Amino acid sequence: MSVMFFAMDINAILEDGTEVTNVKGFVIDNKKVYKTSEGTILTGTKKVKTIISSTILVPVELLSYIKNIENE
Amino acid sequence: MAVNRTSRIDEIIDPTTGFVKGTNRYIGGHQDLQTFKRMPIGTIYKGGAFKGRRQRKAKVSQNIQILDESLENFKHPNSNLDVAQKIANTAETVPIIFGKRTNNIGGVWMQPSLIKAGTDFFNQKLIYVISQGDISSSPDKAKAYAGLKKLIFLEDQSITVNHLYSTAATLATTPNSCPISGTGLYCGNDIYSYLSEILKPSGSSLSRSPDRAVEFFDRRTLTRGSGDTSNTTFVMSLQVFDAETGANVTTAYQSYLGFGNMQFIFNARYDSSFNLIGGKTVGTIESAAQVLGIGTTLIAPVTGSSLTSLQGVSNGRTKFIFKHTFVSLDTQTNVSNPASTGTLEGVQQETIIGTSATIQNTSNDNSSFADITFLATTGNLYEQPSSGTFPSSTKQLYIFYEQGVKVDLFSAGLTGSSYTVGASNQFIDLAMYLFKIYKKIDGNNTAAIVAPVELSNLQNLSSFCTNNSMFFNGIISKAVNIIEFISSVAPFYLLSFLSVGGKYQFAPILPINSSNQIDTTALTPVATFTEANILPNSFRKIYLNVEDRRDIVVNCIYTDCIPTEVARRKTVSVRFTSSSLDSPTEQYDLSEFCTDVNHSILYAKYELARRKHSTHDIAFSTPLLTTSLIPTDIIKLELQRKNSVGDDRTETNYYQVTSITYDNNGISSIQASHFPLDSNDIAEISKEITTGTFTVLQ
Repeated sequence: MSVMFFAMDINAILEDGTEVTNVKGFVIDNKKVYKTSEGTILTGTKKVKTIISSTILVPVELLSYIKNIENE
Repeated sequence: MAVNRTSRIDEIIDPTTGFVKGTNRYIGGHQDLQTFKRMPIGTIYKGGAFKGRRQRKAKVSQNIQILDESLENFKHPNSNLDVAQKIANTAETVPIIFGKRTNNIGGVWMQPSLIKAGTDFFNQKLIYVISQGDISSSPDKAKAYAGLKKLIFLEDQSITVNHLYSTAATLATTPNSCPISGTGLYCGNDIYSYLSEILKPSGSSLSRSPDRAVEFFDRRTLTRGSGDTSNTTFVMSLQVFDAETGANVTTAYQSYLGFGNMQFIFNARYDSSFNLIGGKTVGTIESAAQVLGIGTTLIAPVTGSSLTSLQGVSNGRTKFIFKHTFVSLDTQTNVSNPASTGTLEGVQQETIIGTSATIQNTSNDNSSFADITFLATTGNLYEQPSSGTFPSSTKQLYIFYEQGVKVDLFSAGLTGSSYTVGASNQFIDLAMYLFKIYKKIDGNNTAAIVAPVELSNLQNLSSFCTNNSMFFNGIISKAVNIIEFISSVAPFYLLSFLSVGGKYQFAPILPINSSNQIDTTALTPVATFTEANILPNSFRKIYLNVEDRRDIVVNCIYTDCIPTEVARRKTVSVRFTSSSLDSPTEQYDLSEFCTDVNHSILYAKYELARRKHSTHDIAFSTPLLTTSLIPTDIIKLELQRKNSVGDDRTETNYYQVTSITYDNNGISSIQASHFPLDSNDIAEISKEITTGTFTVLQ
């Protein structure tokens, strides 16, 4: 299993309209995964819709690649 | 009515006078102010005296030829070794390294041009052009310098140096194979690697983004600094600019990415639960492709709707410049641990750009790499890499080769039905090699009749060169005319390169004996000419200018070549001991090929002896069959000298034939230089060279 930890301290709006903070972003086996600080994967109605702010851990050039990856 | 038309101007005007034929009307060129004669049509009147010389017009479409002949293109090390590495120019001539060190003399030091540079996991990868052909010696980092520093003593002890060579036959069969694969560098101009500016915990830095619409890439990061940085991270902001227009497109780019307001944390280290636990230690390298689990392949460009979104950032353009600006430094990222005590210089990024996921594009035709020896180095030749494909403060590489390019050894003669192949220091082998690479010699056919050069005396002449320490250890770095090159260099080996009966031929310019030594015994002229076989009124005698006969000091430049030090040029001065110390100096440059001072001294003696003893040249015509006579042969002239006051005697002189021209009416015209023999028929020039008294200053 390959894991790339690409962002932390993500402040985002989810599909159901709720706002979450302290989310982490990963690329796990070529899938984009967002997890809350408790480790909950944000999916379905809790899928990340809009990111308001984030701290990026990877070179900016990789973000266009990550953007292209499907959410889990 | 009949009309006569005349279309050629020389039918109207007398070209020598400028007058209309049959008239006194002048419509020609200017009048010569000194002779007051009309100048022929087409003559350009250059104007009066007392004028400075006008600047010459530049040559058109000759840039590479000008570069070829420039000092900058010399592949021999110059006096100043502490210079920047020379980057190969497009269409620069690939040099030929020719030589062989024997008896601790010879070999070749060269300063190659850098043709490719890159970085692979922050290890410098450099490729230099060494020579056309296959170099016999292996490169040795103990005999190589980067500037003034020997490679073997550089800080990076892991440096390696290797040759890369592919034959024309190999690349003809597999033109898509890359001869430099495995070096960390790649064939093709669109596959390359480079270092970006270090992202520092201060100020700002710029980096060029891969073109995400077309380029495959990998991005690696290296933590640089000193001491303990295991708890240090720093934060930077980002601005994005259109690489073409320079417009700030930060907002549009952030919107395209969809990560909101971004800040970037660098050097962060986290645990297996992805909690931030500090900073990376100095020397840590991380590859994005490896972290993503795609191994050594490159990250693909964006496609589909993502590409459309990217193109929406700045009117379809997809090349951007990223500017990171320092925001904050945290030396105690993990408050549970003590603050870092070391200094974090920053994080350096290495980018690999390719045209396919597998990096090396296998559809490239790499035939242009054929029959060239390249030198590949791995490791940090330059101690402070900063940014770009290699550091901005480079030092010229110098490398020594005991043995140069492998050639057919004509000097050793046929072994069975073929020539042995190996390095050589024989000028004759070089000449034959030049014919071979120019496809004038069929390597598979060794029959003498198909060779462009007379083969029968090559071994003897090579022995003559060996006996007199006349070896070739040098570099041909210019695109030369083969015949001109061989003809110009041959005299420095006391040889002449002749065209005889439709074939080229080497001949010694001094008679040699059966032991292939300079002959100092009595000579027998090849032919004798008298009034009986010299056509009337054809004999001409021209005495050499006094300037060409006065005592001089001959100064020869040669290359002092030892494996432990980059070669230096030296001079040796030779004069007759009887000549004054301050006689005018004439200089001969043998430094491109001569590494033995004895070779230089011998040539200097030849020049001095020839000037001393050869007083004049002659020319005459003869109906005598002279087809066996060739230039360099010694002939005898016996002429009857009579004058009005009763002088009547036979004058005998000896000459060395310099040219023979055959007319279709059966007449041969001969030119020759005075080549005196003493009363014992021994050549004065040869005797002077071998037994004369010279003073040599080294």
